[in-house]
Amino acid sequence: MKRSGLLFIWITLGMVTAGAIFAPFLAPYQPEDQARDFFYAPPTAVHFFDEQGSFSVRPFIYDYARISDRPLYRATQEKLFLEFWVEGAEYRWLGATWDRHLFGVSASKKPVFLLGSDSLGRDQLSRLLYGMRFSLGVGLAGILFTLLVGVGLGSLAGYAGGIVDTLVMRTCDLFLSLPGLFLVLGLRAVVPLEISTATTFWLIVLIFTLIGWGSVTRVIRGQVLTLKERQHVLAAKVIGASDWRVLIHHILPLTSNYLVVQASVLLPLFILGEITLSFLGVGVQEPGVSMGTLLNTATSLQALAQFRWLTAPVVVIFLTVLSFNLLGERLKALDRVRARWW
Amino acid sequence: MVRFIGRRLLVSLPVLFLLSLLVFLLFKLIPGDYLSEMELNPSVSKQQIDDLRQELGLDRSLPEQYLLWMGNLATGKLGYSFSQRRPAADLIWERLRGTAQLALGAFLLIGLVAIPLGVIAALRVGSWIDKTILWGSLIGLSLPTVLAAVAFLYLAYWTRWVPIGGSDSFLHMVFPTLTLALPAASFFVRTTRLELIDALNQPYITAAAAKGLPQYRIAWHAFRNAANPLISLGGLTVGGLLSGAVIVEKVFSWPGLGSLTVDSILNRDLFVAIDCVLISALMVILANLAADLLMAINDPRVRQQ
Amino acid sequence: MPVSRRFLFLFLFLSLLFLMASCGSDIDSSSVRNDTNPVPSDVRPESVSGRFGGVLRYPLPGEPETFNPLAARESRSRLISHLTNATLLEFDPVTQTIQAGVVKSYNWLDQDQTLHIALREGVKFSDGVDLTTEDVLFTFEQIFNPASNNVLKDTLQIDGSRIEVTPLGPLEAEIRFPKAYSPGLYLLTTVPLLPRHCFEPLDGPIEEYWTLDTPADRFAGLGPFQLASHEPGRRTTLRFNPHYWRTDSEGSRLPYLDEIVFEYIEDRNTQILRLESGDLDLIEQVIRPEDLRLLEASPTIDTVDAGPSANLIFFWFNQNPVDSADSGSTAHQREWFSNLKFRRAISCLISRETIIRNIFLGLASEASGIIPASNLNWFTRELETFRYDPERGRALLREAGFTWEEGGQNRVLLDGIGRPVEFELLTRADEVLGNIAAVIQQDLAEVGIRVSIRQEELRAAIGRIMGTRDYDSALMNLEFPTEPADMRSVLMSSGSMHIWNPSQERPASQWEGRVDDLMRRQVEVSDHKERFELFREVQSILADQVPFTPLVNRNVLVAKRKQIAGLEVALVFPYSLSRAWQIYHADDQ
Repeated sequence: MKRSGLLFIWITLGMVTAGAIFAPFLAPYQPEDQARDFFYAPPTAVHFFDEQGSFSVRPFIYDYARISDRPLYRATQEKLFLEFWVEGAEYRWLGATWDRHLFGVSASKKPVFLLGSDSLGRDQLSRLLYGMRFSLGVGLAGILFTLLVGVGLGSLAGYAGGIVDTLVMRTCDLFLSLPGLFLVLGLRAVVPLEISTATTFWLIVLIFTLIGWGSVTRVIRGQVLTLKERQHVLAAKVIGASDWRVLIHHILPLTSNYLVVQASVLLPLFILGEITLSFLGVGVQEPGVSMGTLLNTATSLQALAQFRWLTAPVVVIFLTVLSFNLLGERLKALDRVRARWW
Repeated sequence: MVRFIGRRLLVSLPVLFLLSLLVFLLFKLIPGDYLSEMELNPSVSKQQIDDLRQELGLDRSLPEQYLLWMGNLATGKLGYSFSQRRPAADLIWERLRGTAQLALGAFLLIGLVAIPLGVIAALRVGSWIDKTILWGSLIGLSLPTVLAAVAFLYLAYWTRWVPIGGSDSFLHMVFPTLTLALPAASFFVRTTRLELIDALNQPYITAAAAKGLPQYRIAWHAFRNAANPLISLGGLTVGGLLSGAVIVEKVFSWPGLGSLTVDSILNRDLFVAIDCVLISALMVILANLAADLLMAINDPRVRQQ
Repeated sequence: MPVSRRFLFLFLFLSLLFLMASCGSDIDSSSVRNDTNPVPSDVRPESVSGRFGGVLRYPLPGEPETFNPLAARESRSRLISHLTNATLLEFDPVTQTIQAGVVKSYNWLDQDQTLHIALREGVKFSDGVDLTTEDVLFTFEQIFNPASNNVLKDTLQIDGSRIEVTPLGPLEAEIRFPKAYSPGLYLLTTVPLLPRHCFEPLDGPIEEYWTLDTPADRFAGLGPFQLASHEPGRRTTLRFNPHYWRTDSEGSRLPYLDEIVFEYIEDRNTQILRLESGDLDLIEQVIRPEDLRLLEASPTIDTVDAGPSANLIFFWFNQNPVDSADSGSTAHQREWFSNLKFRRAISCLISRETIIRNIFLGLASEASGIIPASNLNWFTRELETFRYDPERGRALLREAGFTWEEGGQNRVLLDGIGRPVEFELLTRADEVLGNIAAVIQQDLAEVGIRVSIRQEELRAAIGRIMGTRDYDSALMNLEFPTEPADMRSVLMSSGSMHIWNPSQERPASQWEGRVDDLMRRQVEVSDHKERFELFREVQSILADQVPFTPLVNRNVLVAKRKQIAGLEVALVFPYSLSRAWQIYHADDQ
């Protein structure tokens, strides 16, 4: 796992992150847009050469039509040229409203499905991009809050000691003794599924935080306990630095290695966690989309036997989680020799 | 020793109590209860539902309902199942066996396959064997359990090596166990390898090698030193296995505690749900306790503390 | 090394444990049945002929809750009860008519009030004990036991008075209704006959007996099969009843099958794969349309699309009166919802075709009302309904005073005083209903109505609809009864299942009052034609007033292995197991 491994990590993670961030622009459609007449449409092939073999700089697709009530399609002779920086559905991004998409076919109402479509004629590529955006967002926000809570409570317990310490650590035990999934189920079953995907988002973040904060708190507390006896900390105290200052400037920076490693370990776990939630039917609901809901469709029999393009998310999820795990391994190894990780 | 165990168990009692209270309150926060489903069943009258609600104690005040469960806890019946109309303890006992079988199988795989693989990789660091094991375990770690379960299901269908789902024989157990063990075992392979490499680099190993000790004895020495993190990891794995069991049991129709937990929560079978969560928590606590004891047996330094 | 030896022992011990757990039981089935019990004398043979022997393996998504027919409230328990018990009169799901069954004859002594029944001679419970009128009396006594809370307690009471049974001898009895009641015969088809001797001495209400952990030898029934074993969480095995009273065309005692095994398999992929690999014989109800389409290509599987079931997917608006706790926006939303033209418009705007074509792959049927086309007794063809017609929908909205905001990419629909029209759609967490909700969302977005979908767990959703009642509109599926008398709780304004506005003290609208009146009258008239007309009027009022919008009926879908023969698929419960006694294994190849 030398250079090639590292390259693989950065390429995958770069693509996934870029896909998630620029999802509204990269996706030709909104994830819930239905082209009902084109349900279960296979992926549209993009051509540069036509039947006569003549080359065209602009890529094009062949128009196609459904030939029965069943999802059976036949391509026609008519060429439809792909357009770039094309006008499409409005979306909000970076606080402004945009209507440009990377590519599309604007001339007619014919859809272009690079990864095929599902039962309601929704573009799988768009759904994949938005799904990734949701899952990755949930994971990152989950980590952020987990670490914030963990560092906050951990340093509080470690630094203050006494009754505060006991209280925090006993609560910690409470959450750690609960198998994670059961906490999820308990919470998820009782918190009503809210109307908007945004609310679900924060709910899942909350769940992840509740699961993750215990172990982080415990480790941080341990580290703070040792660190506060260090010479430089004692020295800072002697010259009259406030507790707050000591904690922020002299103790917490030393825990950053652990935090970085922990983040890279937790992210794949959170992505897998969201998938499990969806499998059990307690994750994101219609018309929202996440990697979990996509994977649910992808693992059904019909996806495997008939509509193979629906399995595309499997590959994406696997590669993403694999690269995050690789990254985590690498960070762990580097942490051992106390090296800088970039 | 006995005092140590006793104290640890005593400390976990308030945790369990709070846990049960938490689940109970969460349950009561949203509209609807177990009997709600019947309210949309034209053949069940309102009167009947009200009677049933009274019979199951669902019409009482919240503290009363909680005390009802506590009272049942004391009799050993753990409350009763609303759906099956019998003591929850019977139901849970039936299902606990299934999950225990799977978890035991997973631990066997970890002990007999994962740890030896890790040892082999550590002894041959940098070789192609090491690399293969490393990549294999990484893939195992990155596969969502849902995906692994479905993949094994299709494998069973295509190859007909083992029955597709069910729980009647040893063969039925193979794929569920493999699926359940996969992430944990992969993690064990990697941890074993890392810890053993660390241990092998210690000065006393170099000294032993210089004295001309045979290689297997050196490896054994190093392994005993590397074992404590593994034991502690073993304790932590129980929680993960219980969570994984939920999916595995659903996909392979294996009757176990995991699917019972999910179903009882979704069906709002109150007492069974509290019991299931508590028993899972208790198992995690016991596993960690067992791990601590094992570590003390393995390492005299830990015993001192 | 001692440590490794210890591990070896542990390993051996554990493997032994697994092997012990793995010992299953195999039942060898002989094709000729050793039948020494006499067949009842006056039985008319069924016109079927098949082969004896064999097992039918049938998946259920979960365990039943009980084996007691008087406690069976969900379909899994009802299915097993149906196979192991017989009712006083029989409702044949295939022809949807009332049959005699274990009763040889039944006659009204006076019009619709006193019924004389005579049991067949020689009908025995599965343990060999004769059926007598004492058992009939016992069953009714248990149902009306004040301490009991069984399934039939309320439905068998007419205006609060019970049905009386008077035995006139071991095989004859009189059944007296408190007043002339036209669905009376139908009511008797819901009464399972319980073996008195199995419950004596009786201690406590009947529904506490026959639970999942009752030993199999405590059961006895009149159905074609009897309970043989129950393995918790795994399967329930039914064996043929050696005393079943029906015979085939050659006079041999039915059923043909030796066993029916219900395998508890939740995962639908697993079910399909096991059917294809020959581990299961028949899947129905739970099968998804896309899986049926997939199985159509399989050489070993037969698929059946029998037609619309009574399972209706429908949509409705909350018409509960606004109370002081509700916010102002709720108040004006409820104003729209109680606007007849608005409801009609919405009904015209939802594309049933998309739902059927895209989501059900053609395996569902458009619904016109609460009664599906498959209901042979009560379906009315010529109903005036508000079908999919977006133009008409827009016109209706315009008529009702709604307007469209000009400008912008999406034209927003505004009501009479300029408020944008938007509401929430509540449905349960289910893939199919979620997709249908997405279709409705998009359809209404076309006319500028913003719908947000809210999916909740089944019980939470019902708790909201029936309990707190804080929702705007809802999408649900429900298995409706086949008999109008059973629909009173849904259709009458005082009914607890009058979903859009339950348990009203007095009818909230004139048409609801009219429906109440019609529903009351139709259980009193004895002439079927007259009853039909009364109920037809109810259906046309519902179609006209659109308190709920019927969308589609799921079709009854069955996939079975080719060897399984002789089954007739009914369009009502219990579908392909309706005549379980005539199912058999054709030549095994």
